[in-house]
Amino acid sequence: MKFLIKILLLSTMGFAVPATRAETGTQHEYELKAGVLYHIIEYVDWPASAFSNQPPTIQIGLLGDLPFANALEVLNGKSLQGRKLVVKRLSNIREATQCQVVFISSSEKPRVEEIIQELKNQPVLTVSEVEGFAERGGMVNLVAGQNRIILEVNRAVAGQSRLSISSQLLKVAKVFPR
Amino acid sequence: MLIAAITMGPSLPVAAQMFAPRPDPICTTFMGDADGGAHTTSQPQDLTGLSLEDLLHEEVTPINVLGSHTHLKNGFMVGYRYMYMEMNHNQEGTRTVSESEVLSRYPVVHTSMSMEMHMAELMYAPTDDLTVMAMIPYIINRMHHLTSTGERPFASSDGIGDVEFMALYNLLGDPRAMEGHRLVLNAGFTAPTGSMDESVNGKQLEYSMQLGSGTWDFIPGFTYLGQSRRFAWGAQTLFTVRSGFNDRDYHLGNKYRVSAWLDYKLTDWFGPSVRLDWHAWDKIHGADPVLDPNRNPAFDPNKQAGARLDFLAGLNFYVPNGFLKGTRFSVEGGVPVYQNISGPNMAVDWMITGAISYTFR
Repeated sequence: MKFLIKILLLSTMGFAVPATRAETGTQHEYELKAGVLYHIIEYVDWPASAFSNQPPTIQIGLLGDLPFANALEVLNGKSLQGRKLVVKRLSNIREATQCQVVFISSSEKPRVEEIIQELKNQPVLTVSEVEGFAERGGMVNLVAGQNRIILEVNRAVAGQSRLSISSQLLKVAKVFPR
Repeated sequence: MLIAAITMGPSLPVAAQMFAPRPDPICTTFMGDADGGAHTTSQPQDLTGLSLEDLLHEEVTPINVLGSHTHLKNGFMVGYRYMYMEMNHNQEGTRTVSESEVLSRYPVVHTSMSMEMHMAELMYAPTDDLTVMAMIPYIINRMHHLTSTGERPFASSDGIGDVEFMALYNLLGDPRAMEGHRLVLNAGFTAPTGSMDESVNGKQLEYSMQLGSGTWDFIPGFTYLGQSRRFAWGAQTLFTVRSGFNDRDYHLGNKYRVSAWLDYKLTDWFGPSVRLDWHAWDKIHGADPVLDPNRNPAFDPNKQAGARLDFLAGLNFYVPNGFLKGTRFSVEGGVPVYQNISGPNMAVDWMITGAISYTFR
Protein backbone atom coordinates (compact mmCIF):
# COMPACT_ATOMS: atom_id res chain seq x y z
CA MET A 1 0.00 0.00 0.00
CA LYS A 2 2.77 2.38 1.00
CA PHE A 3 4.58 1.55 -2.22
CA LEU A 4 1.47 2.35 -4.24
CA ILE A 5 1.12 5.67 -2.45
CA LYS A 6 4.71 6.51 -3.26
CA ILE A 7 4.30 5.62 -6.92
CA LEU A 8 1.11 7.64 -7.11
CA LEU A 9 2.73 10.65 -5.52
CA LEU A 10 5.82 10.47 -7.66
CA SER A 11 3.83 10.15 -10.83
CA THR A 12 1.34 12.87 -10.02
CA MET A 13 3.72 15.33 -8.49
CA GLY A 14 6.77 14.78 -10.62
CA PHE A 15 8.54 14.64 -7.35
CA ALA A 16 11.85 12.88 -7.33
CA VAL A 17 13.02 12.21 -3.84
CA PRO A 18 16.70 11.47 -3.55
CA ALA A 19 16.40 10.30 0.02
CA THR A 20 19.78 9.82 1.56
CA ARG A 21 19.80 6.47 3.28
CA ALA A 22 21.82 6.29 6.41
CA GLU A 23 23.19 2.86 5.56
CA THR A 24 26.72 3.98 6.11
CA GLY A 25 25.94 5.40 9.52
CA THR A 26 27.15 8.70 10.85
CA GLN A 27 30.34 9.99 12.29
CA HIS A 28 28.79 10.09 15.73
CA GLU A 29 27.78 6.44 15.44
CA TYR A 30 31.43 5.51 14.81
CA GLU A 31 32.64 7.75 17.59
CA LEU A 32 30.41 5.72 19.89
CA LYS A 33 31.61 2.44 18.38
CA ALA A 34 35.22 3.49 18.90
CA GLY A 35 34.49 4.22 22.56
CA VAL A 36 32.73 0.88 23.01
CA LEU A 37 35.55 -0.97 21.23
CA TYR A 38 38.06 0.63 23.57
CA HIS A 39 36.22 -0.77 26.61
CA ILE A 40 35.77 -4.17 24.96
CA ILE A 41 39.54 -4.47 24.54
CA GLU A 42 39.89 -3.52 28.19
CA TYR A 43 37.71 -6.49 29.16
CA VAL A 44 39.26 -9.18 26.93
CA ASP A 45 42.26 -11.36 27.78
CA TRP A 46 44.27 -12.87 24.95
CA PRO A 47 46.48 -15.92 25.29
CA ALA A 48 50.18 -15.05 25.46
CA SER A 49 50.67 -16.68 22.06
CA ALA A 50 48.53 -13.97 20.48
CA PHE A 51 51.27 -11.41 20.99
CA SER A 52 54.38 -11.87 18.97
CA ASN A 53 54.94 -8.25 18.21
CA GLN A 54 57.59 -6.09 19.84
CA PRO A 55 57.24 -3.45 21.16
CA PRO A 56 54.07 -4.61 22.94
CA THR A 57 51.02 -3.49 20.98
CA ILE A 58 47.45 -4.48 20.36
CA GLN A 59 46.87 -4.33 16.62
CA ILE A 60 43.37 -3.32 15.52
CA GLY A 61 42.69 -4.05 11.86
CA LEU A 62 39.86 -2.32 9.97
CA LEU A 63 38.43 -4.50 7.24
CA GLY A 64 36.11 -3.23 4.52
CA ASP A 65 34.83 0.21 3.55
CA LEU A 66 34.53 2.52 6.52
CA PRO A 67 33.57 6.11 5.59
CA PHE A 68 34.23 7.12 9.18
CA ALA A 69 37.41 5.13 9.79
CA ASN A 70 38.93 8.29 11.23
CA ALA A 71 36.46 8.05 14.11
CA LEU A 72 37.89 4.59 14.95
CA GLU A 73 41.42 5.84 14.51
CA VAL A 74 41.12 7.97 17.67
CA LEU A 75 42.14 4.74 19.44
CA ASN A 76 45.55 4.92 17.80
CA GLY A 77 48.29 5.42 20.39
CA LYS A 78 46.13 4.81 23.46
CA SER A 79 47.35 2.23 25.96
CA LEU A 80 45.45 -0.73 27.40
CA GLN A 81 46.75 -3.76 29.27
CA GLY A 82 50.23 -2.26 29.12
CA ARG A 83 50.17 -2.26 25.33
CA LYS A 84 49.81 0.53 22.84
CA LEU A 85 46.82 0.36 20.47
CA VAL A 86 47.68 0.49 16.78
CA VAL A 87 44.87 0.97 14.28
CA LYS A 88 45.53 -0.02 10.69
CA ARG A 89 43.43 -0.50 7.60
CA LEU A 90 43.58 -4.00 6.11
CA SER A 91 43.43 -4.77 2.43
CA ASN A 92 42.61 -8.46 2.82
CA ILE A 93 41.56 -11.02 5.38
CA ARG A 94 44.97 -12.66 5.60
CA GLU A 95 46.39 -9.48 7.18
CA ALA A 96 43.80 -9.87 9.93
CA THR A 97 45.62 -12.88 11.36
CA GLN A 98 48.45 -10.53 12.38
CA CYS A 99 46.05 -8.49 14.52
CA GLN A 100 44.53 -9.03 17.96
CA VAL A 101 41.31 -7.27 16.95
CA VAL A 102 39.65 -7.01 13.59
CA PHE A 103 36.73 -4.64 12.96
CA ILE A 104 34.67 -5.91 10.04
CA SER A 105 32.65 -3.21 8.29
CA SER A 106 29.07 -3.69 7.10
CA SER A 107 30.41 -3.55 3.54
CA GLU A 108 31.76 -7.08 4.17
CA LYS A 109 28.29 -8.47 4.84
CA PRO A 110 28.36 -10.81 1.81
CA ARG A 111 31.71 -12.24 2.95
CA VAL A 112 31.05 -12.55 6.66
CA GLU A 113 30.89 -16.38 6.66
CA GLU A 114 34.17 -16.57 4.78
CA ILE A 115 35.88 -14.14 7.19
CA ILE A 116 34.60 -16.04 10.22
CA GLN A 117 35.91 -19.29 8.78
CA GLU A 118 39.28 -17.74 8.00
CA LEU A 119 39.73 -16.53 11.58
CA LYS A 120 38.14 -19.53 13.27
CA ASN A 121 40.10 -20.66 16.37
CA GLN A 122 42.66 -17.88 15.89
CA PRO A 123 43.23 -15.57 18.89
CA VAL A 124 41.76 -12.65 17.01
CA LEU A 125 38.79 -10.79 18.49
CA THR A 126 36.32 -10.40 15.65
CA VAL A 127 34.13 -7.32 15.95
CA SER A 128 31.53 -6.34 13.38
CA GLU A 129 28.42 -4.29 12.73
CA VAL A 130 26.67 -6.76 10.46
CA GLU A 131 23.28 -7.85 11.75
CA GLY A 132 23.38 -11.39 13.14
CA PHE A 133 27.19 -11.46 13.26
CA ALA A 134 27.41 -12.87 16.79
CA GLU A 135 24.77 -15.50 16.06
CA ARG A 136 26.58 -16.59 12.92
CA GLY A 137 29.91 -17.28 14.63
CA GLY A 138 31.42 -13.83 15.13
CA MET A 139 32.55 -12.78 18.60
CA VAL A 140 31.33 -9.23 19.14
CA ASN A 141 28.73 -7.23 17.28
CA LEU A 142 27.97 -3.51 17.56
CA VAL A 143 24.62 -2.86 15.93
CA ALA A 144 22.65 0.37 15.91
CA GLY A 145 19.13 -0.26 17.14
CA GLN A 146 16.52 1.99 18.79
CA ASN A 147 18.95 4.84 18.28
CA ARG A 148 21.48 3.19 20.59
CA ILE A 149 24.49 0.93 20.08
CA ILE A 150 23.61 -2.63 21.06
CA LEU A 151 26.45 -4.88 22.15
CA GLU A 152 26.22 -8.58 21.29
CA VAL A 153 28.81 -11.13 22.37
CA ASN A 154 29.26 -14.78 21.45
CA ARG A 155 31.15 -16.08 24.44
CA ALA A 156 31.44 -19.64 23.12
CA VAL A 157 33.18 -18.58 19.90
CA ALA A 158 35.56 -16.36 21.85
CA GLY A 159 36.33 -19.28 24.15
CA GLN A 160 37.16 -21.52 21.19
CA SER A 161 39.79 -18.97 20.23
CA ARG A 162 41.12 -18.91 23.82
CA LEU A 163 39.91 -15.36 24.41
CA SER A 164 38.51 -14.68 27.84
CA ILE A 165 35.76 -12.10 28.12
CA SER A 166 35.17 -10.43 31.48
CA SER A 167 31.83 -10.80 33.17
CA GLN A 168 31.82 -6.97 33.38
CA LEU A 169 31.42 -6.86 29.63
CA LEU A 170 28.90 -9.69 29.49
CA LYS A 171 26.76 -7.84 32.02
CA VAL A 172 25.91 -5.10 29.52
CA ALA A 173 25.84 -7.31 26.42
CA LYS A 174 23.34 -9.54 24.74
CA VAL A 175 25.11 -12.88 25.08
CA PHE A 176 25.05 -15.75 22.57
CA PRO A 177 24.42 -18.63 22.65
CA ARG A 178 21.51 -17.85 24.94
CA MET B 1 16.95 21.84 16.33
CA LEU B 2 14.35 23.46 15.89
CA ILE B 3 11.88 21.04 15.54
CA ALA B 4 8.29 20.92 15.49
CA ALA B 5 5.11 19.93 14.77
CA ILE B 6 4.07 19.85 11.60
CA THR B 7 1.47 21.63 12.91
CA MET B 8 -0.69 23.89 11.95
CA GLY B 9 -2.42 25.47 14.58
CA PRO B 10 -5.62 24.39 15.99
CA SER B 11 -8.74 25.18 14.16
CA LEU B 12 -9.46 28.60 15.43
CA PRO B 13 -12.18 31.11 15.01
CA VAL B 14 -11.96 33.72 12.33
CA ALA B 15 -9.24 35.96 13.62
CA ALA B 16 -7.42 33.24 15.44
CA GLN B 17 -7.13 31.13 12.39
CA MET B 18 -4.84 33.75 10.99
CA PHE B 19 -2.61 32.95 13.86
CA ALA B 20 -1.51 29.40 13.39
CA PRO B 21 1.79 28.33 14.87
CA ARG B 22 4.61 27.52 12.57
CA PRO B 23 5.13 24.03 11.45
CA ASP B 24 8.17 24.65 13.24
CA PRO B 25 11.50 23.61 13.61
CA ILE B 26 11.02 25.13 16.82
CA CYS B 27 8.69 23.03 18.59
CA THR B 28 9.10 19.72 17.42
CA THR B 29 11.77 17.53 17.80
CA PHE B 30 14.33 16.44 15.93
CA MET B 31 17.12 14.52 15.27
CA GLY B 32 19.60 15.36 12.85
CA ASP B 33 23.08 15.68 13.89
CA ALA B 34 24.41 17.90 11.27
CA ASP B 35 27.92 17.18 12.29
CA GLY B 36 27.09 13.57 12.37
CA GLY B 37 25.90 13.75 8.84
CA ALA B 38 27.08 11.21 6.40
CA HIS B 39 30.61 11.67 5.24
CA THR B 40 31.28 14.69 7.29
CA THR B 41 34.93 15.51 7.61
CA SER B 42 34.91 17.19 10.99
CA GLN B 43 37.39 16.10 13.63
CA PRO B 44 36.01 13.00 15.37
CA GLN B 45 35.34 13.17 19.08
CA ASP B 46 37.23 10.87 21.41
CA LEU B 47 34.57 9.23 23.59
CA THR B 48 36.80 6.66 25.29
CA GLY B 49 36.57 8.69 28.49
CA LEU B 50 32.89 7.72 28.80
CA SER B 51 31.98 4.53 30.60
CA LEU B 52 30.75 1.56 28.61
CA GLU B 53 27.30 1.96 30.12
CA ASP B 54 27.18 5.63 29.12
CA LEU B 55 28.30 4.85 25.59
CA LEU B 56 25.57 2.24 25.23
CA HIS B 57 23.01 4.80 26.37
CA GLU B 58 24.15 7.57 24.05
CA GLU B 59 21.91 8.37 21.10
CA VAL B 60 23.33 7.40 17.73
CA THR B 61 21.38 10.26 16.21
CA PRO B 62 21.41 13.06 18.72
CA ILE B 63 18.99 15.91 18.45
CA ASN B 64 20.33 19.39 17.90
CA VAL B 65 19.14 22.85 17.10
CA LEU B 66 17.88 21.94 13.65
CA GLY B 67 14.50 20.41 13.95
CA SER B 68 12.46 18.01 12.04
CA HIS B 69 8.80 17.62 12.48
CA THR B 70 8.48 14.05 13.43
CA HIS B 71 10.05 11.84 16.00
CA LEU B 72 11.79 8.50 15.97
CA LYS B 73 10.21 5.38 17.42
CA ASN B 74 9.27 5.72 21.11
CA GLY B 75 10.15 9.42 21.08
CA PHE B 76 8.05 11.75 23.21
CA MET B 77 7.85 15.50 23.16
CA VAL B 78 6.06 17.78 25.55
CA GLY B 79 5.93 21.43 24.71
CA TYR B 80 4.45 24.76 25.61
CA ARG B 81 3.92 27.59 23.16
CA TYR B 82 2.87 31.16 23.71
CA MET B 83 1.56 33.23 20.82
CA TYR B 84 0.53 36.84 20.67
CA MET B 85 -0.96 38.75 17.76
CA GLU B 86 -1.76 42.44 17.63
CA MET B 87 -4.29 44.15 15.37
CA ASN B 88 -4.42 47.93 15.42
CA HIS B 89 -6.03 48.99 12.16
CA ASN B 90 -8.95 48.18 9.89
CA GLN B 91 -8.71 47.09 6.29
CA GLU B 92 -11.10 46.52 3.45
CA GLY B 93 -9.38 44.47 0.82
CA THR B 94 -5.80 45.71 0.86
CA ARG B 95 -6.80 49.27 1.73
CA THR B 96 -6.48 50.67 5.24
CA VAL B 97 -9.77 52.15 6.38
CA SER B 98 -9.92 54.91 8.99
CA GLU B 99 -12.12 54.67 12.07
CA SER B 100 -14.21 57.63 10.89
CA GLU B 101 -14.87 55.95 7.55
CA VAL B 102 -16.08 52.81 9.30
CA LEU B 103 -18.25 54.91 11.61
CA SER B 104 -19.82 56.58 8.60
CA ARG B 105 -21.12 53.15 7.58
CA TYR B 106 -21.64 51.34 10.92
CA PRO B 107 -22.51 52.47 14.44
CA VAL B 108 -19.35 50.82 15.82
CA VAL B 109 -15.71 50.38 14.80
CA HIS B 110 -13.04 48.15 16.32
CA THR B 111 -10.01 50.15 17.34
CA SER B 112 -7.72 47.31 18.41
CA MET B 113 -7.70 43.63 19.10
CA SER B 114 -5.16 41.25 20.61
CA MET B 115 -5.11 37.51 20.64
CA GLU B 116 -3.05 35.44 23.03
CA MET B 117 -2.72 31.72 23.04
CA HIS B 118 -1.11 29.35 25.52
CA MET B 119 -0.77 25.94 23.98
CA ALA B 120 0.27 22.59 25.38
CA GLU B 121 1.70 20.20 22.82
CA LEU B 122 2.26 16.48 23.13
CA MET B 123 3.87 14.24 20.53
CA TYR B 124 4.60 10.53 20.49
CA ALA B 125 6.09 8.31 17.81
CA PRO B 126 4.93 4.66 17.98
CA THR B 127 7.16 3.94 14.96
CA ASP B 128 9.79 5.79 12.97
CA ASP B 129 7.22 6.47 10.26
CA LEU B 130 4.34 7.61 12.43
CA THR B 131 4.11 10.48 14.89
CA VAL B 132 0.89 11.43 16.62
CA MET B 133 0.29 14.69 18.37
CA ALA B 134 -2.26 16.62 20.37
CA MET B 135 -2.46 20.36 20.93
CA ILE B 136 -4.55 21.97 23.61
CA PRO B 137 -4.96 25.75 23.27
CA TYR B 138 -6.04 28.28 25.85
CA ILE B 139 -7.10 31.49 24.12
CA ILE B 140 -7.46 35.04 25.39
CA ASN B 141 -9.06 37.63 23.10
CA ARG B 142 -9.39 41.31 23.81
CA MET B 143 -11.17 43.89 21.67
CA HIS B 144 -11.60 47.64 21.97
CA HIS B 145 -14.48 49.42 20.24
CA LEU B 146 -15.52 52.98 19.47
CA THR B 147 -19.18 53.78 18.93
CA SER B 148 -20.67 56.62 16.92
CA THR B 149 -21.82 58.15 20.22
CA GLY B 150 -18.23 58.30 21.48
CA GLU B 151 -18.33 55.36 23.89
CA ARG B 152 -15.34 53.01 24.06
CA PRO B 153 -16.59 49.58 25.15
CA PHE B 154 -14.12 46.78 25.83
CA ALA B 155 -14.79 43.08 25.43
CA SER B 156 -12.77 39.99 26.18
CA SER B 157 -13.14 36.26 26.04
CA ASP B 158 -10.94 33.48 27.25
CA GLY B 159 -10.96 29.72 27.64
CA ILE B 160 -9.98 26.44 26.05
CA GLY B 161 -10.02 26.45 22.26
CA ASP B 162 -10.56 23.54 19.94
CA VAL B 163 -8.27 20.64 20.77
CA GLU B 164 -6.40 19.33 17.76
CA PHE B 165 -5.12 15.84 17.03
CA MET B 166 -2.86 14.97 14.15
CA ALA B 167 -1.04 12.00 12.70
CA LEU B 168 2.13 12.54 10.68
CA TYR B 169 3.01 9.65 8.43
CA ASN B 170 6.31 9.44 6.60
CA LEU B 171 5.62 8.69 2.94
CA LEU B 172 9.02 9.19 1.37
CA GLY B 173 12.55 9.42 2.67
CA ASP B 174 14.29 7.99 5.71
CA PRO B 175 13.31 9.51 9.07
CA ARG B 176 16.71 8.50 10.47
CA ALA B 177 18.77 9.98 7.67
CA MET B 178 20.92 12.93 8.56
CA GLU B 179 20.57 14.50 5.14
CA GLY B 180 18.08 14.28 2.31
CA HIS B 181 14.42 14.79 1.62
CA ARG B 182 11.20 13.56 3.11
CA LEU B 183 7.53 13.80 2.38
CA VAL B 184 5.09 13.53 5.26
CA LEU B 185 1.33 13.08 5.13
CA ASN B 186 -0.65 15.13 7.66
CA ALA B 187 -4.01 13.85 8.77
CA GLY B 188 -5.64 15.71 11.61
CA PHE B 189 -8.87 16.92 13.08
CA THR B 190 -10.09 19.30 15.74
CA ALA B 191 -12.75 18.57 18.31
CA PRO B 192 -15.23 21.36 19.05
CA THR B 193 -14.06 21.93 22.60
CA GLY B 194 -13.86 25.72 22.30
CA SER B 195 -16.82 27.89 23.19
CA MET B 196 -18.77 29.74 20.48
CA ASP B 197 -21.14 31.27 23.00
CA GLU B 198 -18.84 33.97 24.34
CA SER B 199 -20.77 37.05 25.35
CA VAL B 200 -20.55 40.19 27.46
CA ASN B 201 -23.56 41.30 29.51
CA GLY B 202 -25.66 38.76 27.66
CA LYS B 203 -24.67 40.09 24.25
CA GLN B 204 -23.07 37.58 21.89
CA LEU B 205 -19.57 38.62 20.86
CA GLU B 206 -18.20 38.82 17.33
CA TYR B 207 -17.29 35.67 15.40
CA SER B 208 -13.64 36.62 15.80
CA MET B 209 -13.97 36.71 19.59
CA GLN B 210 -15.25 33.16 19.88
CA LEU B 211 -12.90 30.45 21.14
CA GLY B 212 -13.93 27.53 18.96
CA SER B 213 -15.46 26.71 15.62
CA GLY B 214 -18.25 24.58 17.03
CA THR B 215 -17.68 21.97 14.34
CA TRP B 216 -15.48 18.95 13.85
CA ASP B 217 -12.85 20.11 11.40
CA PHE B 218 -10.57 17.93 9.32
CA ILE B 219 -7.02 18.91 8.48
CA PRO B 220 -5.37 17.00 5.65
CA GLY B 221 -2.07 18.11 4.17
CA PHE B 222 1.48 17.35 3.15
CA THR B 223 4.81 18.45 4.52
CA TYR B 224 8.09 18.40 2.65
CA LEU B 225 11.25 18.35 4.75
CA GLY B 226 14.79 18.78 3.55
CA GLN B 227 17.97 18.69 5.53
CA SER B 228 21.65 19.08 4.91
CA ARG B 229 24.59 19.39 7.23
CA ARG B 230 23.91 23.01 8.09
CA PHE B 231 20.41 23.72 6.83
CA ALA B 232 16.91 22.41 7.36
CA TRP B 233 14.14 23.61 5.10
CA GLY B 234 10.64 22.63 4.29
CA ALA B 235 7.22 23.49 3.01
CA GLN B 236 3.79 22.56 4.16
CA THR B 237 0.33 22.77 2.77
CA LEU B 238 -2.72 22.20 4.95
CA PHE B 239 -6.45 22.46 4.43
CA THR B 240 -8.91 22.95 7.22
CA VAL B 241 -12.24 21.55 6.11
CA ARG B 242 -15.31 22.21 8.26
CA SER B 243 -17.97 19.60 8.68
CA GLY B 244 -21.62 20.55 9.11
CA PHE B 245 -22.93 23.53 11.04
CA ASN B 246 -22.51 24.34 14.69
CA ASP B 247 -25.28 24.90 17.23
CA ARG B 248 -25.43 28.59 16.29
CA ASP B 249 -26.30 27.76 12.69
CA TYR B 250 -23.03 28.60 10.97
CA HIS B 251 -19.64 27.15 10.21
CA LEU B 252 -16.38 28.97 9.74
CA GLY B 253 -14.93 29.13 6.25
CA ASN B 254 -12.50 26.48 5.08
CA LYS B 255 -8.88 27.47 5.42
CA TYR B 256 -5.87 26.92 3.22
CA ARG B 257 -2.37 27.36 4.38
CA VAL B 258 1.04 27.13 2.71
CA SER B 259 4.25 27.86 4.47
CA ALA B 260 7.93 27.49 3.67
CA TRP B 261 10.89 27.85 5.99
CA LEU B 262 14.63 27.74 6.18
CA ASP B 263 16.66 27.07 9.31
CA TYR B 264 20.40 27.45 9.61
CA LYS B 265 22.44 25.61 12.22
CA LEU B 266 25.01 28.14 13.32
CA THR B 267 26.14 25.89 16.17
CA ASP B 268 24.78 22.68 17.69
CA TRP B 269 22.81 24.77 20.14
CA PHE B 270 21.75 27.83 18.16
CA GLY B 271 20.23 28.55 14.79
CA PRO B 272 18.22 31.37 13.22
CA SER B 273 15.28 30.71 10.91
CA VAL B 274 13.07 32.52 8.43
CA ARG B 275 9.61 31.58 7.27
CA LEU B 276 6.92 32.69 4.84
CA ASP B 277 3.39 31.80 5.84
CA TRP B 278 0.38 32.13 3.56
CA HIS B 279 -3.15 31.80 4.91
CA ALA B 280 -6.39 32.11 3.04
CA TRP B 281 -9.77 31.60 4.63
CA ASP B 282 -13.26 31.59 3.25
CA LYS B 283 -16.28 33.52 4.50
CA ILE B 284 -18.57 32.09 7.16
CA HIS B 285 -21.41 29.94 5.92
CA GLY B 286 -24.74 30.41 7.61
CA ALA B 287 -25.05 33.04 10.33
CA ASP B 288 -25.47 33.40 14.05
CA PRO B 289 -29.08 34.62 14.24
CA VAL B 290 -28.42 37.04 17.11
CA LEU B 291 -25.66 38.96 15.29
CA ASP B 292 -26.93 41.84 13.14
CA PRO B 293 -24.54 42.39 10.23
CA ASN B 294 -25.79 45.97 9.81
CA ARG B 295 -24.56 46.97 13.27
CA ASN B 296 -20.99 45.70 13.11
CA PRO B 297 -18.88 44.49 10.17
CA ALA B 298 -17.51 41.73 12.45
CA PHE B 299 -21.09 40.44 12.74
CA ASP B 300 -21.34 39.95 8.97
CA PRO B 301 -20.59 36.35 7.89
CA ASN B 302 -19.90 37.55 4.36
CA LYS B 303 -17.11 39.82 5.57
CA GLN B 304 -15.03 37.19 7.32
CA ALA B 305 -12.90 35.96 4.43
CA GLY B 306 -9.31 36.94 3.80
CA ALA B 307 -5.78 36.07 2.85
CA ARG B 308 -2.46 37.03 4.34
CA LEU B 309 1.23 36.46 3.78
CA ASP B 310 3.46 36.75 6.83
CA PHE B 311 7.22 37.03 6.96
CA LEU B 312 8.69 35.66 10.18
CA ALA B 313 12.17 35.39 11.61
CA GLY B 314 13.13 33.19 14.53
CA LEU B 315 15.90 32.31 16.94
CA ASN B 316 16.17 28.73 18.10
CA PHE B 317 18.15 27.26 20.96
CA TYR B 318 18.87 23.71 21.98
CA VAL B 319 20.36 22.45 25.25
CA PRO B 320 22.80 19.67 24.30
CA ASN B 321 24.03 18.71 27.78
CA GLY B 322 23.14 18.71 31.44
CA PHE B 323 19.82 18.11 33.09
CA LEU B 324 18.02 20.25 30.50
CA LYS B 325 19.40 18.15 27.63
CA GLY B 326 16.73 17.70 24.99
CA THR B 327 15.12 21.08 25.69
CA ARG B 328 14.51 23.55 22.92
CA PHE B 329 13.62 27.21 23.18
CA SER B 330 12.57 29.36 20.32
CA VAL B 331 11.17 32.76 19.62
CA GLU B 332 9.74 33.89 16.32
CA GLY B 333 8.31 37.23 15.35
CA GLY B 334 6.76 38.48 12.15
CA VAL B 335 4.71 40.97 10.23
CA PRO B 336 2.27 40.60 7.37
CA VAL B 337 3.72 41.59 4.01
CA TYR B 338 0.35 41.23 2.31
CA GLN B 339 -3.21 41.27 3.64
CA ASN B 340 -6.44 41.22 1.76
CA ILE B 341 -9.48 40.92 3.98
CA SER B 342 -13.18 41.36 3.63
CA GLY B 343 -14.15 44.31 5.67
CA PRO B 344 -13.86 46.74 7.04
CA ASN B 345 -12.38 44.49 9.72
CA MET B 346 -9.33 44.31 11.92
CA ALA B 347 -6.06 43.53 10.19
CA VAL B 348 -2.90 42.11 11.72
CA ASP B 349 0.05 44.37 12.57
CA TRP B 350 2.53 41.97 14.11
CA MET B 351 2.86 38.67 15.94
CA ILE B 352 5.32 36.87 18.16
CA THR B 353 5.65 33.29 19.35
CA GLY B 354 7.77 31.72 22.06
CA ALA B 355 8.07 27.99 22.53
CA ILE B 356 9.78 25.51 24.78
CA SER B 357 9.78 21.78 24.27
CA TYR B 358 11.41 18.77 25.83
CA THR B 359 12.10 15.64 23.87
CA PHE B 360 12.93 12.26 25.33
CA ARG B 361 12.78 8.56 24.62
